[in-house]
Amino acid sequence: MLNKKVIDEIEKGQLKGEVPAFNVGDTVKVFSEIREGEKKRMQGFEGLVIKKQGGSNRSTFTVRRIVQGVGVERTFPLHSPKLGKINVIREGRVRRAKLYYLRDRIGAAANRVPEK
Amino acid sequence: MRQGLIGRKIGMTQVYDQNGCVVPVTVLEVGPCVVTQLKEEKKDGYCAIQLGFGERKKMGKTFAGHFKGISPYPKYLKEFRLDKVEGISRGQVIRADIFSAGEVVVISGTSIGKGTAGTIKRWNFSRGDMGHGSKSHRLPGSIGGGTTPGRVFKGQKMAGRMGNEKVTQKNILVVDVDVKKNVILVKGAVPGSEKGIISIFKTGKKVSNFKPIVSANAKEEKAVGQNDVQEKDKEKVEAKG
Repeated sequence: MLNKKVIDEIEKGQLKGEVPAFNVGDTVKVFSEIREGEKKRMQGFEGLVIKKQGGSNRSTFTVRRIVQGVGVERTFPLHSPKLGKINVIREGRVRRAKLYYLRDRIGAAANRVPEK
Repeated sequence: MRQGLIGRKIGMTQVYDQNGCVVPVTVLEVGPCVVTQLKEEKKDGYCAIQLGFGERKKMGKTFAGHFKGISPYPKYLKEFRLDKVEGISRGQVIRADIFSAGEVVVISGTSIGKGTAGTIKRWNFSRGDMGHGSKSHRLPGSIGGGTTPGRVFKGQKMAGRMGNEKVTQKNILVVDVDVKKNVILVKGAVPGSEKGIISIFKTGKKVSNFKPIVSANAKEEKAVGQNDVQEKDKEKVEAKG
């Protein structure tokens, strides 16, 4: 009988074969495809991973960085065909799954996560 | 005059299309449907086919006669009006391949029953003030005049049973069709609960800028294609040798 297994299979078919390993607290550079008119190019976004959420093909992660004193967060769908490679620049040691406390920090403390 | 099929709602999920956009989809089990009866202009005054879907465990003698020669006995029956029934025969099986990705369809189902619902939920009335001395929190308000007309008009919107009625949704986009599994994906929501029986109709309309979804099948096809190329190369080498 058809049931939720069908949905699981559809979601599995959407998954990327290999997903780069990174954790919350890591500093990463994420490349995603953007289109300027006809041209396509990969744009990088570097920052701290403050959350990973969702399962299966719904999973996303959020990268936070400070641009000219203003916090900028971008959420990427992990299995999106537009998402390129993810370079882990620095591994951080954190004690929680969601680093929302960094949003309240100002100045140098805003990105302070000890290295692993 | 619409060709269609009977199906069942499985549930919802999301998929990526080739633009990288996330598309919310409803997964439907559609068909296979067996033609249980043909209605003809001469005999019945109109043209239609009666389709059967699902599997019936128990059956009375009337249905046994109606389904004679058809196996397994279908559980759900529905009639689809057509312009002509020529070329269709009783016992013929119709599958989900009559639909294709990028097509626009109409889907009917029975909406989820809400039970007795007030006017705010049922008819989108406004709420009264929750404070400031008001006691008219979720009341319907006035339902008509006084001495004139001296009665409440028929059809006045009031509280009562909501849902569990036939709902037809137009302009639904077919995102993907898997004939092997008898499964199709449509964009957005579909009336009714999961496991609910729906009927899905063709409209003949197509979306011009449709982007197919990223799927495992497509990846496999690609891989197979690459192998073909390699085999061809081998053949070339052998031919040269």
